[in-house]
Amino acid sequence: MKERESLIIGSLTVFMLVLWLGFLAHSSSRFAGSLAGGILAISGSALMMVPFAYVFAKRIKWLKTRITKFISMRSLLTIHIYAGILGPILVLMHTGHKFESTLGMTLTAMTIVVVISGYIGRYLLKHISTEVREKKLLLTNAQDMYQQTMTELQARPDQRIAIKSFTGMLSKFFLSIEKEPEFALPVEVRAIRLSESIADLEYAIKSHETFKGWFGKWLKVHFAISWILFGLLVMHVWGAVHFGLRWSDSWAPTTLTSQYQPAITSDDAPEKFSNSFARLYKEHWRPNVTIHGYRTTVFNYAGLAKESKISQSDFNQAVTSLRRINPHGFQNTDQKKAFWINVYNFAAMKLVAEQYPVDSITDKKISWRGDPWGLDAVEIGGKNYGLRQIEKEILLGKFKDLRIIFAVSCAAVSCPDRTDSIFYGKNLNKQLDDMVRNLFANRTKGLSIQKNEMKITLSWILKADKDLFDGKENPTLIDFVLKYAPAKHTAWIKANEDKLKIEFFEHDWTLNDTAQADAIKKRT
Amino acid sequence: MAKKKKKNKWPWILAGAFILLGVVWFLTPDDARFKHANVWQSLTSPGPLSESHAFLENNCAACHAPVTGVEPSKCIVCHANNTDLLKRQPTAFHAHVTSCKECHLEHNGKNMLPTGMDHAAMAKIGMRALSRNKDPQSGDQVALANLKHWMQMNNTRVGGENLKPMEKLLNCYTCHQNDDQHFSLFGKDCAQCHTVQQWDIPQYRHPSSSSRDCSQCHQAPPSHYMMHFGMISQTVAGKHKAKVRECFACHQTTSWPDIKGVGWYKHH
Repeated sequence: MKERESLIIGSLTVFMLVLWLGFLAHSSSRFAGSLAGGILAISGSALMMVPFAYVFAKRIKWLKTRITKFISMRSLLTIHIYAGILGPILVLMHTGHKFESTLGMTLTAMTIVVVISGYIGRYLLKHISTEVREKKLLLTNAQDMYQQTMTELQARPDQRIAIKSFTGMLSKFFLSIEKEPEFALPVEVRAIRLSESIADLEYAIKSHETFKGWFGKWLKVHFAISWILFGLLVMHVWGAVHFGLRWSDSWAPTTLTSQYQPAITSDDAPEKFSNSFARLYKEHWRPNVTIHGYRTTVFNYAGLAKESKISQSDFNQAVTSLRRINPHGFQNTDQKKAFWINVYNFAAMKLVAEQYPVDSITDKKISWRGDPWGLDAVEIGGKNYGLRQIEKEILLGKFKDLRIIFAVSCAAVSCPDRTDSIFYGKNLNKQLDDMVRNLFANRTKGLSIQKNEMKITLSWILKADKDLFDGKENPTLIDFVLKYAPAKHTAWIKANEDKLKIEFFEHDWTLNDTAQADAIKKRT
Repeated sequence: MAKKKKKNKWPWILAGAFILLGVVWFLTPDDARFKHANVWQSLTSPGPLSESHAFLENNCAACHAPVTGVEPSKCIVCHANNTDLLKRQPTAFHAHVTSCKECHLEHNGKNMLPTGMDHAAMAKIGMRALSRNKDPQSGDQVALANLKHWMQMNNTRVGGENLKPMEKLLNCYTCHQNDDQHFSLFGKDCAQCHTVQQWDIPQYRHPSSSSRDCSQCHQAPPSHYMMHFGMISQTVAGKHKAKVRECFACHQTTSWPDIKGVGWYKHH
């Protein structure tokens, strides 16, 4: 069994070397990156990872105890050896004998070196060890016999003198021509012969052990070069992915993508967008719902999600008309402002609808990092925009109107209520004012007054963007509140302005979704 | 005990190596060679670029994108609107082909032209383009289904034994019409005789040099139907009674200007 394994591995190693030398006769520049080449590469390198199982199992105690329940270390070593030779054979086939790049050549050389080092360690060094063991056995036998002969010799002291003449090189010659059986030889000759054998054996063992000593560091070398090979392999795989996998063509889109085509904009696109969005909004907007104690407006996100999957729905018409809008084509500032607010609200709605059902816009399904505001949400005139970019760079950056932070939807129950329609340039001012007034009239999340505690609690939105109310370019927080708070409270707030304690409502990221309504939840 | 100590030194060596790397990184100037990505990238270069692209040798990202590799958009950055190419019938297909890298291979050496026609690749690109257009109204899906059906029973196509299945899908005439010296008298299916590797047909044997049926295939030049024939052609050859369709009377099969009894004669 052992010999057979040794023979198979030996032949495979030779085969690998011959395979590598094939580049002298043949070289294919395209094979390595083809589908067949790719399959060979992946299966080959997967096999090259298998030997690590043995390495880790051998060194990590808890892993060893667990693994040896299912498979013995001996079998693992056999797997280590076979995978360690078959993997390199496959990857050598993958090369197609094209050795051009520095990395490729180093990787190939390293693969071969690692396999050969493994072979040397497993089969050649083992051979030396067996030999040393056998010679040691012979040595003990010879020493025993020598002891016996010496006792015999001591019994006859007269013959001790005779030995002298037989020592040296000549004696060896003299003894070797004598063909008599050993037991028939005179005792003194036997003694000399044995002592010589012992010396020979000791010398052989010593030289073998020196040899073994040289290779004693073999395992460390094998280990170190294997790790270098692994590092090179990682670089090679990185290179392949980074510069493109040719065989992935069959499913990767190689047609000209829309971002390289000039955006085709049309003048009626803004109107089309606002019409589709308005219809969509009206269809799915619901007022006066209570979720987690917040009185709020909601959207029927389930319905929106359904529409997102129908090709000619208002939802998708809004998406397509957005693509054809030239965002720099608006003449009127209010129209432009209204457009971007609508785009923000639509984009937030779209992010949720496309991943629905979710419980919040911060759901991992929408953004695994929990940052939906950084995602590319909509495409306008051939360019992608994200929520943060629209709010911070465009809306707040260009228009400097603090009401905007209330107008953009954060798709959560504790945010300002959504107005009953989308925003329009022609009565934008009124719409924005109404929106903020509406919030401050809402005691569950906008403005709540505790007169006995001299405390007002404000919407969390004001806390999040507190820095904007600096009293220079923008009004201070209190001034802003006074401007929009219900008339019945303003007098009291103004009177106690200096003594007031300002607190903020807790924020609740729950989605402003019909399905989240308390009444529905109770029923189910 | 001693053994255990020996085992523990590795983390220190590794940590030391990392720290050393960090120190080297900070102490060396910013423009040190090993700090340039392209130096590392060049390790993976599978061969030099052709001469015309050689200026991109250190700029892998000019053509390569992760995973998808060489994208047509990156070629188009420089190669768009090549009107000479697009107006020429045999190369006009470039206007619709959506992928470049199949035929325009690179990294094959400085002196190699990065162009090699691959008919099968062109067919594949076409099929891919059809399969990606899911719009039922475009008719692409129907065309694709027909093509696939045709491919299955495609051995019905006469001739073209040397063609790959994908190549059989192509209509030779779309691009090679102008190469047809037979004035479509042999039909439009060039692959009945020609292959994609070469236009000439090595197996073709010209009829015997003593054959007299030349005019079955060959047509005389326009000048032979004018006064030029009597004044020059017949006079030069010394065959005053030779007729235009009796090519063999004056010409030899070595070459048309090789005139019997006169030798190489090229009038113009």
